[in-house]
Parts: sequence; C-alpha cells; structure tokens
Amino acid sequence: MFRLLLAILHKIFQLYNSAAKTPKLHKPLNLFYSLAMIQARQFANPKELFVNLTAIFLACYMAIFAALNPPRFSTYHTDNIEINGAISATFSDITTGYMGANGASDDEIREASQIFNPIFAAITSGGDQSQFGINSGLNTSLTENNYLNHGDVANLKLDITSCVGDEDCIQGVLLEYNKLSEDRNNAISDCPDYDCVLDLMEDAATFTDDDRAYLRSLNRGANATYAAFLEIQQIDANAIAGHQMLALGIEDFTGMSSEDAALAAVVLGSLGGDKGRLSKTDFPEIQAQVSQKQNRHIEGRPEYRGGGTMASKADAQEVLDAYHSNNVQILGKNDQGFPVVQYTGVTGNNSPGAGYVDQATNVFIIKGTASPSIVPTNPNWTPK
Amino acid sequence: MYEPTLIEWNLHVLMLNQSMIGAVSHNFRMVSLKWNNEGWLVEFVFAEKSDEDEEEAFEISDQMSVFLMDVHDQISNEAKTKIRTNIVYSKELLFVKNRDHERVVFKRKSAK
Repeated sequence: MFRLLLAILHKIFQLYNSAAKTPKLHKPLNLFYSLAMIQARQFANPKELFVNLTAIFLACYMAIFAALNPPRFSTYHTDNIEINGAISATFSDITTGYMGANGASDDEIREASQIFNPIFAAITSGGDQSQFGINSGLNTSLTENNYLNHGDVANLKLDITSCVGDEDCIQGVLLEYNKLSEDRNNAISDCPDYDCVLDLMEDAATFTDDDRAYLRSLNRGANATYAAFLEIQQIDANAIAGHQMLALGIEDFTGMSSEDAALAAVVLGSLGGDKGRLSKTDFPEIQAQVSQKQNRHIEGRPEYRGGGTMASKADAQEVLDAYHSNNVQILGKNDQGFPVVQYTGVTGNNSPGAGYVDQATNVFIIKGTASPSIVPTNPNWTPK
Repeated sequence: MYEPTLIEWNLHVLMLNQSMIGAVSHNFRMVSLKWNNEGWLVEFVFAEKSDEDEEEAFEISDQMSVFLMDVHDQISNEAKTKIRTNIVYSKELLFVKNRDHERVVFKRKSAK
C-alpha cells in the first residue's frame, strides 16, 4: 500500500511537470521531489519513513538551498562536473551528526548515511540522477574559493612594501599570492574528510577595506591583474557575508548548534547556494519610477535609438516594481555596475543592432539610479 | 598592461558606434576610445559646455556596456572593465593620430 501511494504521488508529479510552465518553480521543485522520492523508496513502510523524517527533511532542505541559484545550478548540470567526494562526505557528516545529537541509534545513522551519500552526490552534479553512485574526483566548486589565510595577507603587505613602488615587482607579488590562493583551494578540494576541510577553512582571511585601501595606495596605476585580484577578494567577502546569513537561517530552522549551522552554510555556499550572490543592498538606491529615458527602449517611440526594446513603459515599470519588491532574481552586475535581473513576468526583445537576431528575453538591466530605465539584454548572460 | 586583441578593439569600437546613434549633437567634436592601465575610456571633445551633452556622454558609455553584454563570451576577463568617461572642452584644432591604445570613432568636419 505504501509503495502504491508513492507510485500515485509520482504520477501526480509527472502530470504537474508536464503542465508546469514556470521554469523558476519547476527546477528546484523537481529536484526536491526527486530527492524526497528516492529517499522515501528506501523504506518499506510509513513508520520507517517517519522515524527518519527529520534527517530526510534536512537533506531536502539543504538540496533546495543548493538549487535556489539557477545560474550556478545550470552550470553544474550542463558542465557535468565530476562529483566531489569530500563535499558529499561533509554533507553526510553534518546530517548524521545532527541525527546522533537528536537520539538516533548507530544503525539508523548508518542507514541514513548510506542514503545520503548518493543524494548529496546528486546535489553536486546538479540533481542529475544518472550521476548517482559516481563519487570519485575532487574537481568542483570548493576550488573556486580564494581564501588566503591571515599570515598570507600579512606577508603579502610586506612583500609589496619591499617592492618600493616597482610596478613589475608588485605585479609579480600579486601573481605569486594568487597562485598561493589557488594552491590552498586545491588543498581544500583534495580533502578526504570533513575535519580536513574544517582545518583549512578555520584561518581563512579576506582583505578588509583597510587592506584594500592600503594596496591601492601602493599601486595607484592599478593594472588589470591587480584589479582582478581585488575583485576576487571582494567576491569572497560577499560570500562570507552570505554564509553568515545562511547559517542563521539553518540554525533557526533546524535547531542545529551555531557551530554546525555555520559549517553547513560554508559547505552549502560552496555548492552554489549563496556564493557571490548579490542582493538589492549591494547596489545604490534606485528610484521607484522609470524615467523618460525609458522611451529610448520602447518599440515604435521616436526616441528609440536601436538596441533592446520593451513592448511598453508599463512593462518596464513592472520589472522595476518587481526589483523593488524583491520579486526578481538578481543574476549579477554588468561592467558598469548596473544590476542584471531575471523576471519571468515580462518578456522583452534583445536586439543589439549589431548584426544579431532578435531574441525574446526575461533578463534585464536596470540602468541608472536617479533616472532609471529598463533595458532587455542577452537572455544567456551570466556573470563573468 | 594587458593588450586587448584586435577582436576586442573592434567589438568595443562597434558597440561605441552603435551607442552614439541618435545621441550626437552639433556640440560633439570628437569621440575616441582609449585603453590604459585602468581599462577602457571613452573621451568626448565638446565645443562648449553643455549639461545635456555631458549627460548624453555618460549615457553613451552605459549603453555601450549594455551592447557589450551580447558579446561577453568573445571578450577576455582582462578586457571586461568598467567603461570610464572623460569629457574635454576645446575649440582648438583637433588632430587624429595613429596610436596603439586609441581609436577615434567620430570626428566632426573641422572649420577651415
């Protein structure tokens, strides 16, 4: 009877899937369902399922966090990245540790662990069930972190000072420390277990604003390498802020200890849940109304000068309203620093006027702050 | 200093050109694209002070960055920089010179 109920549920979900027209809802929900169903099928009856419900719920909760960032989620999916054994082991450790602290027996924990490993592996492969069981190779997102430790940062300052303003020397030092950062991240990625990751992350440091000001004062003619270096460190600072927010959420929601929640957040962040994700607070205040300049991007208006078009000013205002009410997904920012958002409620036309065909798009730039206008852009745009 | 490739130069010139459509008033004397240690710079030379044209200059640089988003996969990370804007007022004779890190995109006919 239990299996029959699962089969019926599966059929209902299949019907939902075929009718679903909202991709943003479709993808995470699909992953959530897949994980829940796979776990549920491991149990012979509802009682067993109920006993393990806490851990199952926690696993699905984590999966949703990992899936809530569609651009990165898609990247994992399409690039078919090898599964990271260290990450899935870490996930499993967190979850089973939580079960143990809540009175689960060793047998229950062992059984749950056997279930979780392929699930967490699936998360790191973008939810592709065909990837289950592949658990080799350590080549995924933890390598994208760029933490130097506190000693590295102190030495970097000393080394730059010793260059006495020699541009070539400074650039050489920056390249050297970028390499150090890369090596350190590779070491994290190669960790066989959770303790190893923890040890390496413990003394991670990023530049403070004072550090950046200091470096800028040494190198006024900032070159591209230098600018890229600072940018990497800024992204890491954003990621750390994101981890802290996520940790608070996990702590409140699951009742985990602060320490466990913080560690879970670090791992989840590295999987794409929040790393480098921008929010409205990362941008200057934008006026609530689109300006007259919007007419430059409206079809048929005499002010139109080429490029992407909105069907109407009302459509543009709807996108701006959605931005202000946090109903858009912020994909990133363009080189000028303008927010690039995705909003499925409005479709614009991306037509750069430089030999490219017209494209329907739900990706928009919010150009300007005091006199904002909404400009449709490349639907396939991703942050650099 | 990174040296933009020929394709990167051409794409930036093209997008700057496209961004200027409908924005050039009689006050515009010359527009050039430059590359230096800090990245891309669009320099506008105006005949006389005009708030409207100044605003238009910044709008052109912003619009250029929008157009470039369509070809972002053809541009290296080193060449993906904020596009800065510089405004110069001059009534002196302007000369176009061949320089490694500069391309003139627009120049009004000089008065004899």
